[in-house]
Parts: sequence; C-alpha cells; structure tokens
Amino acid sequence: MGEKMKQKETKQLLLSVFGVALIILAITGFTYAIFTYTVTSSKTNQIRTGSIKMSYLESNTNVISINNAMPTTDLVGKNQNDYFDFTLSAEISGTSTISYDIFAQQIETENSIDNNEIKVYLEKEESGKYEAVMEPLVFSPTTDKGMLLYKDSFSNKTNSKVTKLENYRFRMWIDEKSDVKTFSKNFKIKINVYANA
Amino acid sequence: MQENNESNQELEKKTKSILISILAVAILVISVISLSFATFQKEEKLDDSNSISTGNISMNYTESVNGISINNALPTSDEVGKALKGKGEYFDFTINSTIVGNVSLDYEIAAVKDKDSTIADSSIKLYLEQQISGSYEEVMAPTVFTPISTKSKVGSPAGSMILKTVKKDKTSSDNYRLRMWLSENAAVDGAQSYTVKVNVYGKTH
Repeated sequence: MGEKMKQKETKQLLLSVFGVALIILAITGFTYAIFTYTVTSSKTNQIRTGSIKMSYLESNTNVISINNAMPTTDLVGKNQNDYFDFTLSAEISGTSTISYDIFAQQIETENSIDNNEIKVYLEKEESGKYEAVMEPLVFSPTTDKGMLLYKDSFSNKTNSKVTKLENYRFRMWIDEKSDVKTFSKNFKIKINVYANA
Repeated sequence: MQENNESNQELEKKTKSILISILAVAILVISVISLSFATFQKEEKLDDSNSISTGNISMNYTESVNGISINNALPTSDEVGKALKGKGEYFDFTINSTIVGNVSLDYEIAAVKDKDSTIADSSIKLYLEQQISGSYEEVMAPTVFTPISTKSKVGSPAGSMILKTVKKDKTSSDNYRLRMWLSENAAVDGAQSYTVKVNVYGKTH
C-alpha cells in the first residue's frame, strides 16, 4: 500500500515537472520570433532591350582577297578594287541614341605579316558616295578587341520605331615601306561592331 | 512509533512536492510577465507608411517616386553603369530604424526578380550605394544578379539577391541608391526585359 502511494506521488511529481517544462519551452519558442519585418516595394525597377542588327554584304566580290600583294602607296591603296563592304542597321523604338564602335581584329595565322607593315582604311557612304572616316593608318591594336577604326551612333528623335542604315567600305594593303621579306606571308582581319551606352 | 516515522516521511515527501510545484509555477509566472509586453505587440499590422513597431523597435521604408526604367538598354561597362544619373536610371530609398533599450536588429535589402523577366540573370548587373556624410559611396560593387538558394535567416526569400545585410543596435536612418544595367558582355537578341523590386526584411536577435 505504502509502495503504491509512493509510486503514485512520484508519478504526479514527474508529471508536474514535465508539464511546467513544456509550458516554459512553449513560451520560449513563441518569443523567439517576437519581431520580424517585411516590406515589399511598390516600385518596379526595369530595363528593356531594343534591337540592333548588323549585316554584312555577302557577295564574294566584296571581300578583300589580295594575292601576291606588293607594297602599295596610300594613294593606290585607297582606290584599290579589293575592299570589304558591310552595313550596320538598327531598329530604335522611341527617342534614343545608340553608339557603336567599329573594330578591326587580327585573326592569328602562321607566317603572319607584322602589324606595322599593314595599312587599314575606312570609308562611309554619304549621299551615295563613299568618303573617308578614317585615313590610312598602320594597323595598331590597342585593346583585346583590336584596333578601333571608327565611332558613331544611331539616333531617333521621334516616339515611333525607326530603322537606320549605314554602309561602310574597308580596305587594307601592305605599306609601301614594307620589306620584301613579307612575301610568302599573309594577314587576316575581321571587322567587329560593338554597340554601347 | 513506526507508524509515526512513516507518516513523517510521507509528510516530508508531500511538502517537497508542493514546494517544487510552487517553484515551477513561480518560474512560469515570472517568464510570462517578462515576455508579455513583446508578445502583445507582435500582432500589430503594417500601416500605410510601411512601418511596424513592437514598442522597442520600429522600421520605416520610403522610396523615390519612380523606380529604374531604361528602354533600349545596351551592354554597358561598369564604369558607365556606376555613373548613370539620368531620370529613371537609378532608384533611391530610405530605411529608418528606431531602437529603444538593449535590443538589436538585423535587416537585409534584397532584390526580388519578377517571374516575367526574360533576360538572363548573368546579363544583369546591380550596384548599391549608401549616403554617408552627404555623399553616396559604394556598399556593393557591380555584381551580376546572384540569387540565394534558400530563404535566409532574416527572411529574404529563396531566389532573391541579398544586396546588403545590416546590424543595428541604435536608432538610425539609412539612404540608399540602386543602379541596374545590362552587363557589358551580355548578348541579348531582340526585345527582352528584366524587372526587380527592392524589399527589406528585418529581424531581432
């Protein structure tokens, strides 16, 4: 009888302690997240791209392919029939200005002619006639993009969508001061255009 | 005699049980009293000015009239992006924290991307400045949008980008300026868009 009473009291005591511990734990857990703050902005931050397209004339007669090239004066080089034509076009929605850079980048080849033996020259079509926008210069790349030939921009001052076109003509030749040892060598260039803000 | 000893022992045990129970209840009462002030304030809702208060802590978020809105975005260098200053090219906002007593607070500024954005995260750069002594200084360098994979401890949701984490233990007002642009190396074909909202998440610790 005494033993049973003892067990009963022990059980009651343990239950009491357990119950109080549970309550304290519940309060502690509840107060852990007392203060949290969340606000969602009512303003959106958005950027939208337009489009700028670039196209090259793909006719085989409009690429530079010079065999048995000889050192050439600037006067002859500027008028040679071997040239590369390309066209830049841009579609602009709304008033906006898009700037672009035209770079000439060398393509690495075996037996390449030295940069300082190559002259490059760029023209732009204005009113149906090609005019120089970069006079003959020795090929001199200054960045990993190559040599900057020319900078310009397309601009739209209306609220409607417009398409703009610009035609360019690129020539290159061996500088007249070049050593004859450049024979049996070659030189390749590609034209890249970068639009930027 | 023996019966007397047994009843004395029983009495002792009962007394002990009662004392333990009283002690436990006292602890319970003290806990409830000390924490009841904060628990009562937890249920307060946000009012129209985006603020919440527990009595010891309050936060307030205000923002400029318009967010960033850039059309015909082009790949932009970090040097140019950091200096954008035209209308619609940056977003200003302020976070005010009022703290009374021995309490401290963490808050996170997070950019949450709109699900309809079509430009890749890797093509977007964000840049954050804070106004210090009257002029804006960089607090987050130009960084590609980098979402977190799980919800942060402070509350920034998974998929958002944490721009800055701040610890506060006294009242302050912090002015921030956000800029966003198309990364210099981005290759975007055609008309696409990218939209974020700047949210703030705070928590006491």
